[in-house]
Amino acid sequence: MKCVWTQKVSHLIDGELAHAEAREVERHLEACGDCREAREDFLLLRRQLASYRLDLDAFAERRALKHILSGGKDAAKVKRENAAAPVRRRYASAGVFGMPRLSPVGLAALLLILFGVAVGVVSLLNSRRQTVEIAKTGATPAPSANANNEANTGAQTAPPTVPNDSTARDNKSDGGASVAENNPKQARTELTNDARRRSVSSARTGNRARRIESAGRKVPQTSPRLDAMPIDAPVAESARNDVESVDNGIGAVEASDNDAARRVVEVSGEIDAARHVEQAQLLLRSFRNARPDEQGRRASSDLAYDKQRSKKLLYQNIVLRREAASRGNLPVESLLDSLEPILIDIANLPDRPAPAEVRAINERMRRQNLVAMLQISAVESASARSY
Amino acid sequence: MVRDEEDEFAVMFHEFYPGLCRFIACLLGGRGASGTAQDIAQESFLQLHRTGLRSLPEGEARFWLYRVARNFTLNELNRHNTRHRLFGKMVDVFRAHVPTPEEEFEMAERKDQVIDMLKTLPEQQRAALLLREQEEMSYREIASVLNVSEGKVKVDVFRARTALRERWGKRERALAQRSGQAG
Repeated sequence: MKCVWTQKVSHLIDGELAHAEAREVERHLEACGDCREAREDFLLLRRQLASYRLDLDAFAERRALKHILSGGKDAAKVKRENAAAPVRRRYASAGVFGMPRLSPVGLAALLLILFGVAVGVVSLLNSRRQTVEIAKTGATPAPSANANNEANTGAQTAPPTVPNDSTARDNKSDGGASVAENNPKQARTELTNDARRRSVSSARTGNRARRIESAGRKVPQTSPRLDAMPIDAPVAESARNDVESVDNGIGAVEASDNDAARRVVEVSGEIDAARHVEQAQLLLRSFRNARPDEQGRRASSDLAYDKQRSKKLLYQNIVLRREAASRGNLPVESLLDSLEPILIDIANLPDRPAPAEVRAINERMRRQNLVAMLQISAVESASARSY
Repeated sequence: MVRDEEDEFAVMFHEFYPGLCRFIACLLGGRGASGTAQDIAQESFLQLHRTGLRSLPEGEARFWLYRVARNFTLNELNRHNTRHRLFGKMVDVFRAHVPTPEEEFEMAERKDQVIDMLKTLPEQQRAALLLREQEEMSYREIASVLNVSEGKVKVDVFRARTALRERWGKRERALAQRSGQAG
Protein backbone atom coordinates (compact mmCIF):
# COMPACT_ATOMS: atom_id res chain seq x y z
CA MET A 1 0.00 0.00 0.00
CA LYS A 2 2.70 2.34 -1.00
CA CYS A 3 0.89 3.73 -3.99
CA VAL A 4 0.34 7.48 -3.85
CA TRP A 5 -3.04 7.01 -5.51
CA THR A 6 -4.53 5.26 -2.53
CA GLN A 7 -5.93 8.50 -1.07
CA LYS A 8 -7.59 9.22 -4.39
CA VAL A 9 -9.09 5.72 -4.26
CA SER A 10 -10.57 6.69 -0.91
CA HIS A 11 -12.03 9.85 -2.40
CA LEU A 12 -13.24 7.88 -5.39
CA ILE A 13 -15.37 5.50 -3.35
CA ASP A 14 -16.78 8.50 -1.53
CA GLY A 15 -17.78 10.13 -4.80
CA GLU A 16 -15.81 13.22 -3.97
CA LEU A 17 -13.76 13.38 -7.14
CA ALA A 18 -14.54 15.32 -10.16
CA HIS A 19 -15.66 13.37 -13.21
CA ALA A 20 -12.38 13.59 -15.06
CA GLU A 21 -10.31 12.83 -12.01
CA ALA A 22 -12.50 9.86 -11.12
CA ARG A 23 -12.04 8.41 -14.62
CA GLU A 24 -8.29 8.81 -14.24
CA VAL A 25 -8.27 6.95 -10.91
CA GLU A 26 -10.38 4.17 -12.33
CA ARG A 27 -7.87 3.72 -15.08
CA HIS A 28 -5.12 3.53 -12.45
CA LEU A 29 -7.05 0.91 -10.54
CA GLU A 30 -6.97 -1.36 -13.56
CA ALA A 31 -3.21 -1.25 -13.47
CA CYS A 32 -2.45 -1.11 -9.68
CA GLY A 33 -3.08 -4.17 -7.58
CA ASP A 34 -2.40 -2.39 -4.28
CA CYS A 35 -4.99 0.23 -5.03
CA ARG A 36 -7.53 -2.43 -6.02
CA GLU A 37 -6.84 -4.24 -2.79
CA ALA A 38 -7.15 -0.97 -0.88
CA ARG A 39 -10.46 -0.25 -2.57
CA GLU A 40 -11.75 -3.69 -1.64
CA ASP A 41 -10.66 -3.23 1.95
CA PHE A 42 -12.23 0.23 2.14
CA LEU A 43 -15.51 -1.08 0.77
CA LEU A 44 -15.42 -4.00 3.20
CA LEU A 45 -14.89 -1.61 6.06
CA ARG A 46 -17.79 0.49 4.82
CA ARG A 47 -20.07 -2.51 4.80
CA GLN A 48 -19.04 -3.45 8.29
CA LEU A 49 -19.55 0.02 9.69
CA ALA A 50 -22.84 0.53 7.89
CA SER A 51 -24.17 -2.81 9.00
CA TYR A 52 -23.50 -2.07 12.63
CA ARG A 53 -26.81 -1.81 14.44
CA LEU A 54 -27.45 -0.59 17.92
CA ASP A 55 -30.12 -2.35 19.97
CA LEU A 56 -32.50 0.38 20.93
CA ASP A 57 -35.41 0.27 23.32
CA ALA A 58 -38.46 1.37 21.34
CA PHE A 59 -40.36 2.12 24.52
CA ALA A 60 -37.55 4.36 25.74
CA GLU A 61 -37.52 6.08 22.37
CA ARG A 62 -41.24 6.88 22.52
CA ARG A 63 -40.94 8.00 26.11
CA ALA A 64 -38.03 10.24 25.24
CA LEU A 65 -39.99 11.86 22.43
CA LYS A 66 -42.97 12.36 24.67
CA HIS A 67 -40.94 14.10 27.30
CA ILE A 68 -39.08 16.20 24.78
CA LEU A 69 -42.35 17.37 23.28
CA SER A 70 -43.69 18.10 26.73
CA GLY A 71 -41.00 20.71 27.06
CA GLY A 72 -38.23 18.67 28.60
CA LYS A 73 -38.96 20.00 32.04
CA ASP A 74 -38.26 16.62 33.52
CA ALA A 75 -35.50 15.70 31.14
CA ALA A 76 -33.23 14.72 33.99
CA LYS A 77 -35.91 12.39 35.25
CA VAL A 78 -36.28 10.81 31.83
CA LYS A 79 -32.54 10.46 31.64
CA ARG A 80 -32.50 8.58 34.90
CA GLU A 81 -35.44 6.46 33.77
CA ASN A 82 -33.69 5.57 30.56
CA ALA A 83 -30.60 4.56 32.46
CA ALA A 84 -32.64 2.49 34.86
CA ALA A 85 -35.15 1.18 32.35
CA PRO A 86 -33.69 -2.32 31.88
CA VAL A 87 -33.29 -2.72 35.63
CA ARG A 88 -36.83 -1.57 36.29
CA ARG A 89 -38.27 -3.93 33.74
CA ARG A 90 -36.34 -6.76 35.28
CA TYR A 91 -37.64 -5.97 38.74
CA ALA A 92 -41.15 -5.38 37.44
CA SER A 93 -41.35 -8.92 36.15
CA ALA A 94 -40.79 -10.51 39.53
CA GLY A 95 -41.88 -9.61 43.00
CA VAL A 96 -40.80 -10.96 46.35
CA PHE A 97 -39.52 -14.55 46.26
CA GLY A 98 -40.12 -14.77 42.54
CA MET A 99 -43.86 -14.18 42.85
CA PRO A 100 -45.54 -11.92 40.34
CA ARG A 101 -45.35 -8.33 41.39
CA LEU A 102 -48.69 -6.94 42.47
CA SER A 103 -50.08 -3.63 41.45
CA PRO A 104 -50.95 -1.23 44.31
CA VAL A 105 -54.64 -2.06 43.91
CA GLY A 106 -53.98 -5.78 44.12
CA LEU A 107 -51.76 -5.29 47.12
CA ALA A 108 -54.47 -3.26 48.85
CA ALA A 109 -57.05 -5.96 48.11
CA LEU A 110 -54.74 -8.62 49.52
CA LEU A 111 -54.17 -6.62 52.69
CA LEU A 112 -57.92 -6.08 53.02
CA ILE A 113 -58.57 -9.80 52.73
CA LEU A 114 -55.89 -10.57 55.31
CA PHE A 115 -57.39 -7.98 57.66
CA GLY A 116 -60.85 -9.49 57.21
CA VAL A 117 -59.55 -12.97 57.98
CA ALA A 118 -57.81 -11.67 61.09
CA VAL A 119 -60.97 -9.93 62.30
CA GLY A 120 -62.97 -13.08 61.66
CA VAL A 121 -60.57 -15.23 63.66
CA VAL A 122 -60.56 -12.77 66.56
CA SER A 123 -64.36 -12.54 66.62
CA LEU A 124 -64.62 -16.32 66.51
CA LEU A 125 -62.25 -16.64 69.45
CA ASN A 126 -64.20 -13.98 71.36
CA SER A 127 -67.51 -15.72 70.72
CA ARG A 128 -66.08 -18.99 71.98
CA ARG A 129 -64.72 -17.29 75.05
CA GLN A 130 -68.08 -15.66 75.67
CA THR A 131 -69.82 -19.01 75.37
CA VAL A 132 -67.48 -20.45 77.96
CA GLU A 133 -68.15 -17.48 80.23
CA ILE A 134 -71.88 -17.92 79.89
CA ALA A 135 -71.55 -21.58 80.72
CA LYS A 136 -69.46 -20.77 83.77
CA THR A 137 -71.75 -18.01 84.93
CA GLY A 138 -74.79 -20.13 84.40
CA ALA A 139 -73.28 -23.07 86.20
CA THR A 140 -72.43 -21.09 89.31
CA PRO A 141 -75.85 -20.51 90.84
CA ALA A 142 -77.19 -23.93 90.04
CA PRO A 143 -75.33 -26.00 92.63
CA SER A 144 -75.83 -23.45 95.35
CA ALA A 145 -79.48 -23.22 94.52
CA ASN A 146 -79.79 -26.93 94.56
CA ALA A 147 -78.31 -27.19 98.01
CA ASN A 148 -79.38 -24.13 99.89
CA ASN A 149 -80.16 -20.49 99.35
CA GLU A 150 -78.05 -18.93 101.95
CA ALA A 151 -75.23 -17.88 99.71
CA ASN A 152 -77.31 -17.64 96.60
CA THR A 153 -79.59 -15.08 98.11
CA GLY A 154 -76.71 -12.93 99.19
CA ALA A 155 -74.98 -13.31 95.85
CA GLN A 156 -77.94 -12.47 93.72
CA THR A 157 -79.32 -9.64 95.73
CA ALA A 158 -76.00 -7.94 96.33
CA PRO A 159 -75.66 -5.28 93.65
CA PRO A 160 -71.99 -4.66 92.93
CA THR A 161 -72.46 -0.94 92.65
CA VAL A 162 -74.39 -0.50 95.87
CA PRO A 163 -71.99 -0.91 98.76
CA ASN A 164 -74.41 -1.57 101.61
CA ASP A 165 -71.83 -2.65 104.12
CA SER A 166 -74.10 -3.14 107.03
CA THR A 167 -76.32 -5.49 105.11
CA ALA A 168 -73.43 -7.51 103.91
CA ARG A 169 -72.05 -7.67 107.41
CA ASP A 170 -75.40 -8.85 108.74
CA ASN A 171 -75.82 -11.40 106.05
CA LYS A 172 -72.41 -12.88 106.43
CA SER A 173 -72.25 -13.72 110.05
CA ASP A 174 -69.60 -16.37 109.63
CA GLY A 175 -66.63 -14.11 108.99
CA GLY A 176 -67.04 -13.15 105.31
CA ALA A 177 -68.30 -9.66 106.02
CA SER A 178 -64.95 -7.97 105.63
CA VAL A 179 -64.53 -9.49 102.20
CA ALA A 180 -67.96 -8.36 101.12
CA GLU A 181 -67.19 -4.93 102.44
CA ASN A 182 -64.09 -4.52 100.37
CA ASN A 183 -64.98 -6.45 97.28
CA PRO A 184 -68.56 -7.46 96.70
CA LYS A 185 -67.67 -9.60 93.71
CA GLN A 186 -65.11 -11.55 95.69
CA ALA A 187 -67.61 -11.84 98.49
CA ARG A 188 -70.15 -13.28 96.13
CA THR A 189 -67.65 -15.84 94.92
CA GLU A 190 -66.71 -16.79 98.42
CA LEU A 191 -70.32 -17.03 99.41
CA THR A 192 -70.97 -19.31 96.48
CA ASN A 193 -68.02 -21.47 97.35
CA ASP A 194 -69.11 -21.51 100.93
CA ALA A 195 -72.55 -22.55 99.84
CA ARG A 196 -71.08 -25.40 97.85
CA ARG A 197 -69.05 -26.58 100.79
CA ARG A 198 -72.03 -26.36 103.04
CA SER A 199 -74.24 -28.14 100.60
CA VAL A 200 -71.86 -31.06 100.53
CA SER A 201 -71.52 -31.15 104.28
CA SER A 202 -75.19 -30.74 104.86
CA ALA A 203 -75.99 -33.54 102.49
CA ARG A 204 -73.71 -35.74 104.52
CA THR A 205 -75.04 -34.75 107.89
CA GLY A 206 -78.66 -34.41 106.99
CA ASN A 207 -78.89 -30.83 108.21
CA ARG A 208 -80.13 -29.39 104.92
CA ALA A 209 -83.46 -28.36 106.42
CA ARG A 210 -81.80 -26.32 109.11
CA ARG A 211 -79.65 -24.58 106.55
CA ILE A 212 -82.62 -23.72 104.44
CA GLU A 213 -84.33 -22.40 107.51
CA SER A 214 -81.39 -20.17 108.33
CA ALA A 215 -81.41 -18.96 104.76
CA GLY A 216 -85.04 -18.17 105.11
CA ARG A 217 -84.33 -16.09 108.14
CA LYS A 218 -81.64 -14.15 106.39
CA VAL A 219 -83.50 -13.32 103.25
CA PRO A 220 -85.58 -10.51 104.73
CA GLN A 221 -82.39 -8.89 105.92
CA THR A 222 -81.19 -8.63 102.35
CA SER A 223 -84.34 -6.94 101.18
CA PRO A 224 -83.30 -3.41 102.24
CA ARG A 225 -80.86 -3.49 99.39
CA LEU A 226 -83.76 -3.17 97.06
CA ASP A 227 -84.51 0.18 98.63
CA ALA A 228 -81.29 1.50 97.22
CA MET A 229 -82.51 0.90 93.68
CA PRO A 230 -83.95 3.86 91.81
CA ILE A 231 -87.53 2.57 91.74
CA ASP A 232 -90.76 3.81 93.17
CA ALA A 233 -91.94 2.75 96.60
CA PRO A 234 -94.87 0.48 95.59
CA VAL A 235 -92.64 -1.49 93.33
CA ALA A 236 -90.07 -1.92 96.07
CA GLU A 237 -92.77 -2.93 98.47
CA SER A 238 -94.19 -5.49 96.08
CA ALA A 239 -90.74 -6.81 95.44
CA ARG A 240 -90.12 -7.12 99.14
CA ASN A 241 -93.35 -8.99 99.58
CA ASP A 242 -92.48 -11.25 96.72
CA VAL A 243 -89.13 -12.08 98.25
CA GLU A 244 -90.86 -12.90 101.49
CA SER A 245 -93.28 -15.08 99.66
CA VAL A 246 -90.39 -16.88 98.05
CA ASP A 247 -88.94 -17.44 101.48
CA ASN A 248 -92.21 -18.90 102.52
CA GLY A 249 -91.77 -21.24 99.61
CA ILE A 250 -88.48 -22.25 101.11
CA GLY A 251 -90.35 -23.01 104.25
CA ALA A 252 -92.64 -25.21 102.22
CA VAL A 253 -89.64 -27.06 100.94
CA GLU A 254 -88.51 -27.54 104.51
CA ALA A 255 -91.77 -29.20 105.26
CA SER A 256 -91.54 -31.52 102.31
CA ASP A 257 -90.13 -34.99 102.20
CA ASN A 258 -86.42 -35.27 103.02
CA ASP A 259 -85.62 -38.17 100.76
CA ALA A 260 -86.84 -36.43 97.59
CA ALA A 261 -83.58 -34.78 96.55
CA ARG A 262 -84.77 -34.50 93.02
CA ARG A 263 -87.80 -32.64 94.14
CA VAL A 264 -85.64 -30.29 96.13
CA VAL A 265 -83.68 -29.58 93.02
CA GLU A 266 -86.82 -28.86 91.07
CA VAL A 267 -88.19 -26.62 93.74
CA SER A 268 -84.88 -24.80 93.98
CA GLY A 269 -84.96 -24.25 90.24
CA GLU A 270 -88.41 -22.81 90.47
CA ILE A 271 -87.30 -20.57 93.26
CA ASP A 272 -84.40 -19.37 91.18
CA ALA A 273 -86.73 -18.72 88.27
CA ALA A 274 -89.10 -16.84 90.54
CA ARG A 275 -86.31 -14.70 91.90
CA HIS A 276 -85.04 -14.09 88.42
CA VAL A 277 -88.47 -13.05 87.24
CA GLU A 278 -88.76 -10.65 90.14
CA GLN A 279 -85.40 -9.10 89.46
CA ALA A 280 -86.16 -8.82 85.78
CA GLN A 281 -89.45 -7.19 86.60
CA LEU A 282 -87.69 -4.68 88.80
CA LEU A 283 -85.16 -3.97 86.10
CA LEU A 284 -87.77 -3.45 83.43
CA ARG A 285 -89.82 -1.21 85.65
CA SER A 286 -86.76 0.77 86.55
CA PHE A 287 -85.83 1.10 82.92
CA ARG A 288 -89.34 2.03 81.87
CA ASN A 289 -89.93 4.58 84.62
CA ALA A 290 -86.60 6.37 84.32
CA ARG A 291 -87.00 10.07 83.72
CA PRO A 292 -84.98 11.56 80.89
CA ASP A 293 -83.35 14.98 81.11
CA GLU A 294 -84.24 18.01 79.07
CA GLN A 295 -82.54 16.60 76.00
CA GLY A 296 -84.48 13.39 76.27
CA ARG A 297 -81.46 11.42 77.46
CA ARG A 298 -81.18 9.28 80.54
CA ALA A 299 -78.61 9.74 83.25
CA SER A 300 -75.55 7.78 82.28
CA SER A 301 -75.03 6.39 85.80
CA ASP A 302 -78.56 4.94 85.95
CA LEU A 303 -78.25 3.51 82.50
CA ALA A 304 -74.89 1.93 83.25
CA TYR A 305 -76.37 0.26 86.31
CA ASP A 306 -79.35 -1.01 84.30
CA LYS A 307 -77.02 -2.33 81.63
CA GLN A 308 -74.93 -4.13 84.20
CA ARG A 309 -77.97 -5.71 85.82
CA SER A 310 -79.39 -6.61 82.46
CA LYS A 311 -76.21 -8.38 81.48
CA LYS A 312 -76.18 -10.35 84.70
CA LEU A 313 -79.82 -11.25 84.36
CA LEU A 314 -79.28 -12.23 80.76
CA TYR A 315 -76.81 -14.93 81.75
CA GLN A 316 -79.19 -16.19 84.41
CA ASN A 317 -82.04 -16.01 81.95
CA ILE A 318 -80.23 -18.24 79.47
CA VAL A 319 -79.48 -20.87 82.09
CA LEU A 320 -82.92 -20.78 83.62
CA ARG A 321 -84.61 -20.94 80.26
CA ARG A 322 -82.64 -24.05 79.39
CA GLU A 323 -83.45 -25.59 82.72
CA ALA A 324 -87.13 -24.81 82.24
CA ALA A 325 -86.99 -26.35 78.78
CA SER A 326 -85.31 -29.46 80.12
CA ARG A 327 -87.98 -29.78 82.80
CA GLY A 328 -90.72 -29.18 80.27
CA ASN A 329 -91.97 -26.08 82.03
CA LEU A 330 -93.34 -24.38 78.98
CA PRO A 331 -94.86 -21.25 80.59
CA VAL A 332 -91.61 -20.34 82.30
CA GLU A 333 -89.62 -21.14 79.21
CA SER A 334 -91.89 -18.99 77.07
CA LEU A 335 -91.73 -16.12 79.52
CA LEU A 336 -87.98 -16.23 79.76
CA ASP A 337 -87.73 -16.56 76.02
CA SER A 338 -89.69 -13.37 75.50
CA LEU A 339 -87.68 -11.63 78.21
CA GLU A 340 -84.31 -12.47 76.69
CA PRO A 341 -84.33 -10.07 73.68
CA ILE A 342 -85.26 -7.16 75.90
CA LEU A 343 -82.38 -7.96 78.24
CA ILE A 344 -80.03 -8.22 75.30
CA ASP A 345 -81.18 -4.86 73.96
CA ILE A 346 -80.72 -3.14 77.29
CA ALA A 347 -77.32 -4.74 77.85
CA ASN A 348 -76.14 -3.68 74.43
CA LEU A 349 -77.24 -0.07 74.67
CA PRO A 350 -74.48 2.47 74.17
CA ASP A 351 -73.34 4.58 77.08
CA ARG A 352 -75.31 7.55 75.84
CA PRO A 353 -78.11 6.08 73.77
CA ALA A 354 -80.35 8.12 71.59
CA PRO A 355 -83.82 8.70 73.05
CA ALA A 356 -85.25 6.82 70.09
CA GLU A 357 -83.39 3.66 71.05
CA VAL A 358 -84.72 3.76 74.60
CA ARG A 359 -88.20 4.49 73.33
CA ALA A 360 -88.01 1.52 70.98
CA ILE A 361 -87.19 -0.84 73.82
CA ASN A 362 -89.97 0.59 75.97
CA GLU A 363 -92.36 0.23 73.08
CA ARG A 364 -91.46 -3.42 72.65
CA MET A 365 -91.94 -4.02 76.34
CA ARG A 366 -95.30 -2.34 76.17
CA ARG A 367 -96.45 -4.29 73.15
CA GLN A 368 -95.53 -7.59 74.73
CA ASN A 369 -96.94 -6.59 78.11
CA LEU A 370 -93.76 -7.96 79.47
CA VAL A 371 -93.81 -6.24 82.84
CA ALA A 372 -97.35 -7.40 83.46
CA MET A 373 -96.53 -10.93 82.47
CA LEU A 374 -93.53 -10.95 84.76
CA GLN A 375 -95.67 -9.68 87.59
CA ILE A 376 -98.35 -12.28 86.99
CA SER A 377 -95.73 -15.00 86.87
CA ALA A 378 -94.24 -13.79 90.12
CA VAL A 379 -97.65 -13.73 91.80
CA GLU A 380 -98.49 -17.19 90.54
CA SER A 381 -95.25 -18.68 91.70
CA ALA A 382 -95.66 -17.03 95.07
CA SER A 383 -99.17 -18.34 95.47
CA ALA A 384 -98.07 -21.79 94.38
CA ARG A 385 -95.28 -21.85 96.93
CA SER A 386 -97.56 -20.60 99.67
CA TYR A 387 -99.32 -23.95 99.75
CA MET B 1 -44.63 25.02 19.28
CA VAL B 2 -47.53 24.60 16.92
CA ARG B 3 -48.96 21.25 16.06
CA ASP B 4 -47.42 21.04 12.59
CA GLU B 5 -44.00 21.77 13.92
CA GLU B 6 -44.43 19.14 16.60
CA ASP B 7 -45.41 16.60 13.98
CA GLU B 8 -42.43 17.60 11.90
CA PHE B 9 -40.21 17.26 14.91
CA ALA B 10 -41.63 13.82 15.72
CA VAL B 11 -41.02 12.64 12.16
CA MET B 12 -37.50 13.89 12.32
CA PHE B 13 -36.98 12.32 15.71
CA HIS B 14 -38.02 8.87 14.52
CA GLU B 15 -35.95 9.24 11.39
CA PHE B 16 -32.71 10.32 12.96
CA TYR B 17 -32.83 8.99 16.50
CA PRO B 18 -31.49 5.47 15.72
CA GLY B 19 -28.69 6.78 13.54
CA LEU B 20 -27.75 9.41 16.04
CA CYS B 21 -27.62 6.84 18.82
CA ARG B 22 -25.42 4.60 16.69
CA PHE B 23 -23.11 7.50 15.84
CA ILE B 24 -22.77 8.43 19.51
CA ALA B 25 -22.26 4.83 20.60
CA CYS B 26 -19.51 4.35 18.01
CA LEU B 27 -17.90 7.62 19.04
CA LEU B 28 -17.96 6.50 22.64
CA GLY B 29 -16.48 3.17 21.60
CA GLY B 30 -18.00 1.28 24.52
CA ARG B 31 -16.95 3.91 27.02
CA GLY B 32 -19.46 5.48 29.34
CA ALA B 33 -22.35 3.93 31.21
CA SER B 34 -25.09 1.82 29.70
CA GLY B 35 -27.62 3.98 27.94
CA THR B 36 -25.27 6.93 27.68
CA ALA B 37 -25.66 7.09 23.91
CA GLN B 38 -29.43 7.29 24.21
CA ASP B 39 -29.18 9.91 26.90
CA ILE B 40 -26.93 12.05 24.76
CA ALA B 41 -29.19 11.59 21.75
CA GLN B 42 -32.17 12.61 23.81
CA GLU B 43 -30.35 15.61 25.16
CA SER B 44 -29.43 16.62 21.61
CA PHE B 45 -33.00 16.40 20.43
CA LEU B 46 -34.09 18.34 23.45
CA GLN B 47 -31.66 21.10 22.50
CA LEU B 48 -33.05 21.06 19.00
CA HIS B 49 -36.58 21.27 20.36
CA ARG B 50 -35.68 24.23 22.53
CA THR B 51 -33.89 25.94 19.69
CA GLY B 52 -36.82 25.43 17.38
CA LEU B 53 -36.78 23.35 14.28
CA ARG B 54 -37.89 26.16 12.03
CA SER B 55 -35.37 28.61 13.37
CA LEU B 56 -32.65 26.65 11.58
CA PRO B 57 -31.98 26.97 7.84
CA GLU B 58 -33.63 24.48 5.54
CA GLY B 59 -31.85 21.10 5.70
CA GLU B 60 -29.53 22.27 8.42
CA ALA B 61 -31.29 20.58 11.34
CA ARG B 62 -29.72 17.20 10.78
CA PHE B 63 -26.17 18.55 10.77
CA TRP B 64 -26.95 20.81 13.68
CA LEU B 65 -28.17 17.76 15.56
CA TYR B 66 -25.03 15.73 14.88
CA ARG B 67 -22.85 18.68 15.77
CA VAL B 68 -24.53 19.06 19.14
CA ALA B 69 -24.46 15.32 19.74
CA ARG B 70 -20.75 15.18 19.00
CA ASN B 71 -20.06 18.00 21.42
CA PHE B 72 -22.04 16.21 24.14
CA THR B 73 -20.15 13.03 23.35
CA LEU B 74 -16.80 14.76 23.60
CA ASN B 75 -17.78 16.13 26.98
CA GLU B 76 -18.74 12.66 28.07
CA LEU B 77 -15.47 11.25 26.77
CA ASN B 78 -13.51 13.87 28.65
CA ARG B 79 -15.35 13.04 31.84
CA HIS B 80 -14.83 9.35 31.24
CA ASN B 81 -11.14 9.79 30.50
CA THR B 82 -10.68 11.75 33.70
CA ARG B 83 -12.39 9.09 35.72
CA HIS B 84 -10.60 6.35 33.82
CA ARG B 85 -7.17 7.86 34.41
CA LEU B 86 -7.75 7.96 38.14
CA PHE B 87 -9.32 4.54 38.22
CA GLY B 88 -6.64 3.12 35.92
CA LYS B 89 -3.90 4.24 38.28
CA MET B 90 -5.72 2.61 41.17
CA VAL B 91 -6.11 -0.58 39.16
CA ASP B 92 -2.43 -0.55 38.25
CA VAL B 93 -1.55 -0.25 41.91
CA PHE B 94 -3.86 -2.96 43.15
CA ARG B 95 -4.03 -5.29 40.18
CA ALA B 96 -2.18 -8.50 40.88
CA HIS B 97 -2.80 -10.25 37.58
CA VAL B 98 -1.60 -8.73 34.35
CA PRO B 99 -3.36 -10.29 31.35
CA THR B 100 -1.10 -11.91 28.82
CA PRO B 101 -1.20 -10.77 25.19
CA GLU B 102 -3.09 -13.91 24.31
CA GLU B 103 -5.72 -13.12 26.93
CA GLU B 104 -5.99 -9.61 25.65
CA PHE B 105 -6.39 -10.92 22.12
CA GLU B 106 -9.14 -13.28 23.17
CA MET B 107 -10.90 -10.50 25.03
CA ALA B 108 -10.67 -8.27 21.99
CA GLU B 109 -11.97 -11.07 19.85
CA ARG B 110 -15.05 -11.40 21.95
CA LYS B 111 -15.88 -7.73 21.68
CA ASP B 112 -17.46 -6.13 18.73
CA GLN B 113 -14.55 -5.94 16.35
CA VAL B 114 -15.48 -2.80 14.49
CA ILE B 115 -16.20 -0.78 17.59
CA ASP B 116 -13.09 -2.10 19.21
CA MET B 117 -10.95 -0.95 16.32
CA LEU B 118 -12.69 2.40 16.12
CA LYS B 119 -11.60 3.10 19.65
CA THR B 120 -8.01 3.22 18.47
CA LEU B 121 -8.63 6.10 16.10
CA PRO B 122 -8.33 9.75 17.03
CA GLU B 123 -11.67 11.30 17.71
CA GLN B 124 -11.63 13.60 14.68
CA GLN B 125 -10.88 10.72 12.33
CA ARG B 126 -13.39 8.50 14.01
CA ALA B 127 -16.17 11.07 13.77
CA ALA B 128 -15.38 11.89 10.15
CA LEU B 129 -15.29 8.23 9.14
CA LEU B 130 -18.52 7.43 10.98
CA LEU B 131 -20.35 10.33 9.45
CA ARG B 132 -19.11 9.27 6.05
CA GLU B 133 -19.72 5.53 6.25
CA GLN B 134 -22.76 5.33 8.45
CA GLU B 135 -24.54 8.59 7.82
CA GLU B 136 -23.33 8.91 4.21
CA MET B 137 -22.56 12.57 4.57
CA SER B 138 -20.45 14.36 2.05
CA TYR B 139 -17.14 15.91 2.99
CA ARG B 140 -18.76 19.30 3.02
CA GLU B 141 -21.48 18.16 5.35
CA ILE B 142 -18.98 16.43 7.59
CA ALA B 143 -16.95 19.59 7.67
CA SER B 144 -20.06 21.46 8.67
CA VAL B 145 -20.80 19.06 11.48
CA LEU B 146 -17.24 18.87 12.75
CA ASN B 147 -16.64 22.53 12.13
CA VAL B 148 -13.45 21.87 10.23
CA SER B 149 -12.35 22.41 6.69
CA GLU B 150 -13.35 20.09 3.90
CA GLY B 151 -9.74 19.25 3.19
CA LYS B 152 -9.21 18.12 6.73
CA VAL B 153 -12.21 15.86 6.42
CA LYS B 154 -10.75 14.29 3.31
CA VAL B 155 -7.49 13.58 5.08
CA ASP B 156 -9.15 12.35 8.26
CA VAL B 157 -11.39 9.94 6.44
CA PHE B 158 -8.52 8.54 4.45
CA ARG B 159 -6.29 8.19 7.53
CA ALA B 160 -9.01 6.50 9.44
CA ARG B 161 -9.56 3.98 6.69
CA THR B 162 -5.89 3.30 6.32
CA ALA B 163 -5.39 2.82 10.04
CA LEU B 164 -8.30 0.43 10.32
CA ARG B 165 -7.15 -1.44 7.27
CA GLU B 166 -3.72 -1.95 8.82
CA ARG B 167 -5.14 -3.11 12.13
CA TRP B 168 -7.61 -5.33 10.39
CA GLY B 169 -4.76 -6.84 8.39
CA LYS B 170 -2.76 -7.45 11.55
CA ARG B 171 -5.70 -9.13 13.13
CA GLU B 172 -6.26 -11.33 10.10
CA ARG B 173 -2.65 -12.31 10.04
CA ALA B 174 -2.70 -13.12 13.76
CA LEU B 175 -5.79 -15.27 13.32
CA ALA B 176 -4.24 -17.05 10.37
CA GLN B 177 -1.02 -17.66 12.31
CA ARG B 178 -3.00 -18.96 15.29
CA SER B 179 -5.09 -21.28 13.19
CA GLY B 180 -1.90 -22.54 11.48
CA GLN B 181 -0.34 -23.34 14.86
CA ALA B 182 -3.46 -25.13 15.97
CA GLY B 183 -3.52 -27.17 12.75
